[in-house]
Amino acid sequence: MNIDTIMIVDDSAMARLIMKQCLEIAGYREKKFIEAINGKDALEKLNKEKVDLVVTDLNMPVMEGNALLENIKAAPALKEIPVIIITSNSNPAREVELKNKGAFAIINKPISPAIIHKVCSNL
Amino acid sequence: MSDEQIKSALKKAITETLENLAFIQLIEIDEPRLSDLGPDFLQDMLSVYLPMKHEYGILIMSASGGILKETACNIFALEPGAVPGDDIIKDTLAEILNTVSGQFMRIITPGDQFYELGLPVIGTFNLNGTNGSEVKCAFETESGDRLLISYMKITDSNN
Repeated sequence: MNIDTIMIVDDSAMARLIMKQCLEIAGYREKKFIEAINGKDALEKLNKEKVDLVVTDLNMPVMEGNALLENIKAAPALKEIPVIIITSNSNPAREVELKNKGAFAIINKPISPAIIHKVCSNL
Repeated sequence: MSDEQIKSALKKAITETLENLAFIQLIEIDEPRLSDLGPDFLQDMLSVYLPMKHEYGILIMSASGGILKETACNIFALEPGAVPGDDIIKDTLAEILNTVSGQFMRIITPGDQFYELGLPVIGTFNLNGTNGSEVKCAFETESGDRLLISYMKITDSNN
């Protein structure tokens, strides 16, 4: 899959930076990154710009990652975008639920470039 | 779950998180007082909930400024000795506690059960006198900075 633009969604600037660094090390160094601070911000930006991959946290104020995932998968123009969830708030039971909602993968924090690379190699 | 099991989970969660996030090695020490953390320490609180057990808990992390600065410098690749801004320091504290809380809950929660994490809140917290069982762990870095993390179970299914 050709990935040119990646959206990173997290309310923490530090978490967004860590995700971006991991993605760059994992092979996405020359890509365009768009950042959003919550699900609502992400949806607004997704409706303005073409994005090939969304990497999002779950636990965020205003609109959580769970709602963002549901909105993306319910929107005909967005539903094909793979969504990777990076979170502290997951365990096997929740991972099944998120996969059923259409998440491409769920990665538990702390993340590493190796894990990102492994997941993204299946895109 | 016994206090020893909770303490073991807390210890594993915090040591692995700091090592993975910022290459900081923590050494467990006897429990320090908040006053041992230095004048620039910060505190952060996050609530957790296990719906199937009707159980609430609170995680509180108190960290000396040195640990937070070192973590921020390592992640943001700042020059040694650089002084990160207050917003970056607070964000660092929140992200550490968020990650530690997730690690901790994954250890203590059976795989088929859900748990919920609240959002980190930075402030001043003192659990002394609160009605609940508190488990604490204290750590020190090689440079002498200290960190205290505690978990308090507020209610359980027997109450």
